[in-house]
Amino acid sequence: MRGIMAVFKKEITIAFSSPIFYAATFIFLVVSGYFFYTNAIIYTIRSFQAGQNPFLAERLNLSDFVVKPFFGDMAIVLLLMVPLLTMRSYAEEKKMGTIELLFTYPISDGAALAGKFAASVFTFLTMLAGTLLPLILLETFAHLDWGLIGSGYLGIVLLGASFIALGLFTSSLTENQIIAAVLSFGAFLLFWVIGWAKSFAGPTLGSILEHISIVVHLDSFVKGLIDSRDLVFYLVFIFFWLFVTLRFLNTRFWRG
Amino acid sequence: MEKPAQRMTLFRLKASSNMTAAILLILVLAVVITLLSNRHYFRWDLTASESTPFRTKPCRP
Repeated sequence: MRGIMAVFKKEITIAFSSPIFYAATFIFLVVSGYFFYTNAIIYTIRSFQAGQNPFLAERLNLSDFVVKPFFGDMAIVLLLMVPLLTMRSYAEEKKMGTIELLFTYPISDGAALAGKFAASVFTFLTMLAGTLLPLILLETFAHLDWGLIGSGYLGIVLLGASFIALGLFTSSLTENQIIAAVLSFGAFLLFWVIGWAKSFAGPTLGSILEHISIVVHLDSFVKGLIDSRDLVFYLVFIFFWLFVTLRFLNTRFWRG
Repeated sequence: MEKPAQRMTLFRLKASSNMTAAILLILVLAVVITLLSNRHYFRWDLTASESTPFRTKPCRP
């Protein structure tokens, strides 16, 4: 545990002193804020229209028009931002030669990986905390469903942690940060769109592909529903990629 | 008698097979856990209105 904490502190210090974190957070918050703003504007326009249309007035609520689309939009922004958080994890250490130092610490590779993963998730949570601001602002003059918001955030955190686990793996493959980021983005995108093949794949293969698709499991969280199947999927996904990363790191003992 | 280069190749082959087997084993484990979680699952509705049709009761397929 002390080993994990040591790596965690080191990674956090590096992350918060790096301009990449501030640039990624700035862009993430600006783009998320823009999506929130447009959703709120659409809701306002619909509210005016609802005055003349009773059917629309019945269906109009903040959760459906602002909060739920906000989480969906945030997930898309994460697809672009998480590679920036994870790309330097192992790639930079390899490039600078400090990975040899990391391997000679009196801690296991698993502890080092756990420390790096925890630090990336913490950095991600810090980034995500900024998105609460518009919701708190909205709460001052409208009643929000905080159960739905909590569930949505849980889904986003699990999605982000899954991306981070996969991003750590791609970062361990190369010593070039740009290649690591491109590989991460490609892998995220693949797991995002793989479910789209459901329509033309057979029924069995289609359901398998849909189940592998990472974004399908976010839907129930965004609706305010915590489904144990989705929870298990994300946890298994995270564990699997961390395990593969660990095994790949161990290849240094026998690779040429 | 085996040459050092041959021994190294054999060692690498064994190590890479070991790594592949471990990853495949974990993949199988992941599939089993996912299948089990699909058979026995729970849903919690956190919305204030509990608007979704599923409540905290366990659901069976």
